[in-house]
Amino acid sequence: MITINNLYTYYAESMILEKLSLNIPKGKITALVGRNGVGKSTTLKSILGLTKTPSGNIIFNGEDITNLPTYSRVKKGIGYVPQGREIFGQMTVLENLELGLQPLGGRGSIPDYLYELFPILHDFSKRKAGDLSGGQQQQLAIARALVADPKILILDEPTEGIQPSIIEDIGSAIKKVNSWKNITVLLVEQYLDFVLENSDIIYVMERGEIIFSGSPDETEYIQFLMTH
Amino acid sequence: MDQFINTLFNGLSLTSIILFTSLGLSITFGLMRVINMAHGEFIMIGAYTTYVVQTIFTHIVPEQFQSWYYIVAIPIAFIISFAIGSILEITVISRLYGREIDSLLATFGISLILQQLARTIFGTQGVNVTAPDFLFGGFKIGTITFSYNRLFIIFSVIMCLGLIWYIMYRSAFGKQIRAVMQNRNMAQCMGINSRRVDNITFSIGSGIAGIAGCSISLLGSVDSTLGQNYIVYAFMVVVLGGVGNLKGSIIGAAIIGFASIFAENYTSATLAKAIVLFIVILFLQKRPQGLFVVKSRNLD
Repeated sequence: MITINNLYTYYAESMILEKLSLNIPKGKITALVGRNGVGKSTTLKSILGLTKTPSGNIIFNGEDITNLPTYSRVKKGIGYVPQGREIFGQMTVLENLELGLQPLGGRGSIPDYLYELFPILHDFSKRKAGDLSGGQQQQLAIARALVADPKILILDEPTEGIQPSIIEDIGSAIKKVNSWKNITVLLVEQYLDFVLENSDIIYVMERGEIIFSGSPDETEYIQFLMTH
Repeated sequence: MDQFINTLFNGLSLTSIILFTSLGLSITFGLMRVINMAHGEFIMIGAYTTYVVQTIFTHIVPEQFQSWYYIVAIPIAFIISFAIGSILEITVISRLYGREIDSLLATFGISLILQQLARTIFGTQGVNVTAPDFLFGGFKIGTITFSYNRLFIIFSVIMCLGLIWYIMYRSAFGKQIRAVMQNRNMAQCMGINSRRVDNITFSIGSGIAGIAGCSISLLGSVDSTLGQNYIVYAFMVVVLGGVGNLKGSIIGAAIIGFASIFAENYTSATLAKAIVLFIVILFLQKRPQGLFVVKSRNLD
């Protein structure tokens, strides 16, 4: 689904990603884990085109998207749930969801299954999104990214600052989206239990490189890498 | 009593003029945070466009239809100001987003260039726009005359407000504008071409200034400094109302408009200006964020 080849990313003088190569297989839930500051979020931002990537390339669905602007990449079928949710707080819940239709030119309607996944969005549709709680905002951010039926859903720390019961809901929603709609998922997450429970493939990052790839079965080794 | 109603009408009239001149700025400065010193010149462009359309009409249109020039001038003033705004945004403004002081200096330079251009084309003497026949005179209630001219400006500003409200809150493009203004990066992640939205938003602000110029040309002679007379009021309205807020602009304009007229009634025109400025300064001391606060976009 996504292949990253020899990607470099800099912020000012410091190198964040160094010769990063990564393959996100179609139809799977892939998690990218690692300690703070190793370049996980930057990897996601690079896929979206939110950071400059002076060399290397990103292939999405067989097409080189490295030089495309962010909005064109999204239109090709990338749904993005950023860290901190970044919902449009001044707009209503419904307006936020309707913005999710932009990749389709603003046409179409919000799929019913999203309201099944997150019933709260239906009940609060007229409410200002900024007035929702953190967990509800996260649900809105995930639903918004799914409105246009993307090929891949990219989530950056979806459990950050969220209460345990909603974390469970989010985990099950990600699995359902993956199995019902066959949407590939790429997940960056600090909360290891969540990753082990909800993903098929795990990559561990260290200083801008992938140092391990494997399945959640290798729990102990992954835990060792995360803590040493 | 008549005197009071007359003062109220004058206040309303001045409010509508000030609001008209600041509506475009409430978009370019209020929403986009571009300190647009050339805003007044877009008003001037609208006024000169009205003059040019009038001149063309006197040469090519039969006498009985000449008053229609004004109806034709309104959309043309919008289109020309919109187009010049669009060119300006592409060539200069787009490179200066997030650099407020730089944009202030650059747009100040553009303002001087546009003024000189107007002097070169139309001369240093002011030109006159004759109000169309249907705006001559007024209707009387008792001893008070409500001039059609001024009523027309009030009507136009209400129409413009309605138009902006519709674009911003009811149209699909308005949703894109609001998304980009609130969170530029996230708007791009929703598939919105934020460069295009920036350009069209700035152009709409410029186009509305052009329509304001079209109305203001009815009030007096049009020259290259026309915009300068209104720019200070326009900035005051937007800052007083709270940047990025249409409702705030309306109330800000009303405060300045009515305060000016009432102060003028009881003092002199010069002192009235000082009083209004004093009120604005006092107000901003207490509430620097303006009347209404809406989180606006952080341009990166």
